[in-house]
Amino acid sequence: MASKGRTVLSVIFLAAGLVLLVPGILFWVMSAGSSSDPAYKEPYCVVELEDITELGGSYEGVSAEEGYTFYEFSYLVKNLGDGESYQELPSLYYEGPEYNDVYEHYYWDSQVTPEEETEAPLFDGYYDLCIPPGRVGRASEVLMVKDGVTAVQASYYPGYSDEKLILDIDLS
Amino acid sequence: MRCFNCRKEFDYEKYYGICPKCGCFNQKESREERHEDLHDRFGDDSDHREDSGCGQTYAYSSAEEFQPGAADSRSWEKPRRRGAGFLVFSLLFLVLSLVVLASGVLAYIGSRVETAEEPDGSLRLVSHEVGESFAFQKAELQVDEIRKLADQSVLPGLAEGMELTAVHVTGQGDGEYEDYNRIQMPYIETEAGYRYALSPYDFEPYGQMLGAYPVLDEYALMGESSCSGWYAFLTEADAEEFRIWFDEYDGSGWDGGNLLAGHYVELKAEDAAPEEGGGTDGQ
Repeated sequence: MASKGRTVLSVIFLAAGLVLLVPGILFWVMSAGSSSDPAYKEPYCVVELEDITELGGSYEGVSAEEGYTFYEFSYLVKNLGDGESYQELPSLYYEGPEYNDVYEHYYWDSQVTPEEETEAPLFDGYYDLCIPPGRVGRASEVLMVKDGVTAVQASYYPGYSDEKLILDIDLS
Repeated sequence: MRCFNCRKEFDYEKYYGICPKCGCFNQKESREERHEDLHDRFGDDSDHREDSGCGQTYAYSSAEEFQPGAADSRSWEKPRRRGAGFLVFSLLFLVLSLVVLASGVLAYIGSRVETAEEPDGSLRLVSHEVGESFAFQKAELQVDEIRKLADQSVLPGLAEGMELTAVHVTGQGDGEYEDYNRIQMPYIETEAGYRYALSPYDFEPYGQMLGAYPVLDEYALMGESSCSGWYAFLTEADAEEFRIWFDEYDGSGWDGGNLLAGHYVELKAEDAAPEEGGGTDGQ
């Protein structure tokens, strides 16, 4: 009888141990996933819309498609991280209510006749602007926006993690 | 003998009990026969209790308590505590699980707190004047002057509208070599934005040629008590006002550690004509 009791107790302990072990491991996994490696500095660039300028139907020799207008979006970019940002502006992905409401420069770059390939300039790589940690930079982007669209969203990754931020832009 | 598995008749002695047909091992004797055999081999003086069958483990009843030292001709066999090992194992497993859970919860809370501390960008910014000596990472730095060294007319390889600019800096250190006490390469700020300093390796030959020599690098004050030299940058040709930024770190890590402050000095361009030579004959 005593042997049976011990076995039952052991099984209860074992089951309780398993029940506690599983969430324990889960907590460890979650903590490992949510904390970044402190050995590396990383930028954390938050974008704020500063100004929108309507450029009209043409920009740098490119004509906007019928029913579209060029806009210049000016941003303040605050690097709140502890590492330097090698871009003056994080890659913004624009979306309107419809798929064809906003076109980025990739859309019309193909229309521009490609220039002849030139030799890389002296000190190539040092011309690009950056944003040191704790400082604020300015940047702008030109977009082709469908007439009548009153709001677009720009989503971007402020740092190296999966965290995504969304910037609501009111065009009205 | 007949194999218990395939029923094949075979000679037990010849095949040592292994069936030649199916390979099964067959025991010749029954349990009782083996027991008798043991009695034959070791005599018949073993202790067989009346209330306990021969060959069975003896267990004391609750009424019959074991008396250590009591007259008992048989050797006393300690009753086995069945399941005790399993119980100990289960207990240890439970304790281990508790430890894993507690440490996991603490680690998770710690990571959440760390994540919640969102960077607020509250960097301490310290302004200095040209020619002013200021404390910087166990050293003193001083920004002396800025020079526009060359534009596209001097260095045709430069990108259009850009210029090579250099800033002269002097420093005093303690002469100690500390692994992480480097002066991180400075930035220059113009109206367009920030740019990182040119690598000393890339700039040095041009610095010699254009009179901006020696060229400073991150190790300028590591193991040195003083330094005097130039940092170079690319700036817009029409830029007239600049800020040079030195980021001060606490030296707690290989990459400088924690950023403590951003020291900056405002500069105005002094259009100095590029100096002649200063380098090798080849240049």
